[in-house]
Amino acid sequence: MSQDRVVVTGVGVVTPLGCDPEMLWARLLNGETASQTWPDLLAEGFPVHRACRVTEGALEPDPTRRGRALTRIAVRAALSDSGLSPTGRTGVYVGTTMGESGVFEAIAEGAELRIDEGVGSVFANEVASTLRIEGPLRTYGTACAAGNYALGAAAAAIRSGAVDAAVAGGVEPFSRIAMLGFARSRAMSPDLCRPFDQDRTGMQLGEAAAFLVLEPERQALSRGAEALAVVAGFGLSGDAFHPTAPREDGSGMAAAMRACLAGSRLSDIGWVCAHGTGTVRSDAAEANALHAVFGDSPPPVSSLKGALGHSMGAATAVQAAVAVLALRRRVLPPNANLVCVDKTLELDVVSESRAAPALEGVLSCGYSFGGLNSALLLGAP
Amino acid sequence: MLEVLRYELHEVNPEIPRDLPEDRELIVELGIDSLDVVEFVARLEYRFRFVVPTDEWQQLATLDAIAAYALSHLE
Amino acid sequence: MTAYVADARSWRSPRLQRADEAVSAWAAETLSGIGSGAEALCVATLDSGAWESVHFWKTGLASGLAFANPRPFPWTLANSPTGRIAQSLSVRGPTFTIVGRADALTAALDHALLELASGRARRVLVAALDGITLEETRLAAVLLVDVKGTENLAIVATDSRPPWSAIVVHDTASETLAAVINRLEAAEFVAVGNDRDGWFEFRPDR
Repeated sequence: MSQDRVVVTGVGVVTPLGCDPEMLWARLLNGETASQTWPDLLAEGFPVHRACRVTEGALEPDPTRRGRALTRIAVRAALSDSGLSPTGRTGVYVGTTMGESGVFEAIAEGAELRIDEGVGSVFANEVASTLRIEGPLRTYGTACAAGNYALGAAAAAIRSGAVDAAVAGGVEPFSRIAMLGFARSRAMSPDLCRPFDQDRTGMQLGEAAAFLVLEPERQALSRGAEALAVVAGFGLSGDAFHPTAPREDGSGMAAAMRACLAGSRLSDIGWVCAHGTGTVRSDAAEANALHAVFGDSPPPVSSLKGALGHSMGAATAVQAAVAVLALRRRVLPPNANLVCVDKTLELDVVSESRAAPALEGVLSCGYSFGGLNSALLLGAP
Repeated sequence: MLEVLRYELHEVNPEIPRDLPEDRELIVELGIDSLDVVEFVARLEYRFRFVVPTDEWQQLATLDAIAAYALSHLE
Repeated sequence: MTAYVADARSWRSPRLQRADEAVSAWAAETLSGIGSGAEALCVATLDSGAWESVHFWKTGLASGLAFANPRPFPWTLANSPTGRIAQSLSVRGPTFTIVGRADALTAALDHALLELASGRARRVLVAALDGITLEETRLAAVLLVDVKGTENLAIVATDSRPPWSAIVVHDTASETLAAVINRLEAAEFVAVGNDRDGWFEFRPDR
């Protein structure tokens, strides 16, 4: 068992605002949103036609293989960024919600595909086979918290010595099933996702893949790699309340945050990268949770979901990647699409990019359908 | 129309009482599960062939409001 | 890491509808007999939500997307049985959904033992749920506790490969765990896992 810290040495992202961390960072800082109307969704008769989708890069045109393509690109980018050569002791930890949704859609439309081509574990298997990574493979299907689960498990495996390094993150290809489901559940905004705004009208669907390379700090330094951030804490809890709605008092969310922050000083948290889906109830519950943990004045808060949409299994992985960038640059990205903050939430919502020269810790949160709550703490190296 | 609505709501979840007040907000005041309410409106849309656009959804908070909406959208 | 097996059971249900909450509701109700008092929950599954996803999309296309019934949608997520089981058993500690085959069971056991070893939970329910055949749905579960009470069966994490005759591996997590439980009922020494993910031995505890 190593007392060594677990550090991030590489980041790879595929998002609706860019497939390069620098591009993504610049556009986030600018307050941009990838939200747009899509002619194909309009023509197919979806009740809502706005979403955030990945348009850059030579992407797999076949929707039954899109998630695997996003995974390969993001994992390769993370490995390249870190300079790590994977071995038989490099683990792969993947979070996802819908899996390779295009497979289920195609089967429903009559295609002769096997159901197990669509299940969530296909992404980890793809990494193992195409990138010839031979360590343990794990897939977490914990919906909007899955990326955090993957990162937390990877860090724990490194600490215990089960693996020498890990590629951990999440992937969620655009899902027509989710597009239909959220819209017909009346959870979706007809125009823009406005987290924490007084006039917020719901979530918006996104897609993404993001992976981080994690290693023991001593190993990273000895091979000349730079430690970009430290995985400093991780916490989980359950609401045990309702299939989709969170507890209004945010008590489950608060429990996950507290578990994550045990052993840290609350004052070290300089930014909360929130779950912030932009629904009336979830944002309110999250505000309650932040107050329960931090008191009257929680740290500044931004959600990335106005900019990128909700990329579900990948969301917290994208958040972790952005948290690493924020710690490096000491700047807080804004909460996009904010017109008028909901004052009843009593949160300091970052409306424009903000310098944070003393930024030491970022708390990144994801809370899933079914009340599985997660929080990840990333610190400056 | 209100009778139709109460019937359909009961079909969605038999535990919902059949004598709900029509002027109280279903979710916020009467505590009806949001999953039941969205399915209920979906059944009405399918039955009466109208569609409630996303930006008009917030207005349909009470049985009265839903009844008025349904009636105004019937042919 | 060592823990103790307080209970172990397996079930099969014929022909559950893969359309809505049927699988989740059946799993939650079935596990209420074994999982009460669980403080953490680890579910291993291959296809939870998968057939539900197919059904939801198929019926949505048939009705017209504008008229699709949203009811089945939450049950298209792989996580939905876990959430429903946790709700039914009031589990407010860590809960996990691990997607995969026999390897997912190994991961679920690993998480369960970690939760017990850390002190975050004293009773952890590990369940494996698969409906990969359309003819039946399979569920198996073990309740693991941190302190040996009257239990005389321990589960031990180990790096070294157990004897081949003891190792059980099947196509899915639920079949694997059910096979383990059969062996336990026959008082046989049994193990699951693999060289890559690690091994778990079930042994009588003296």
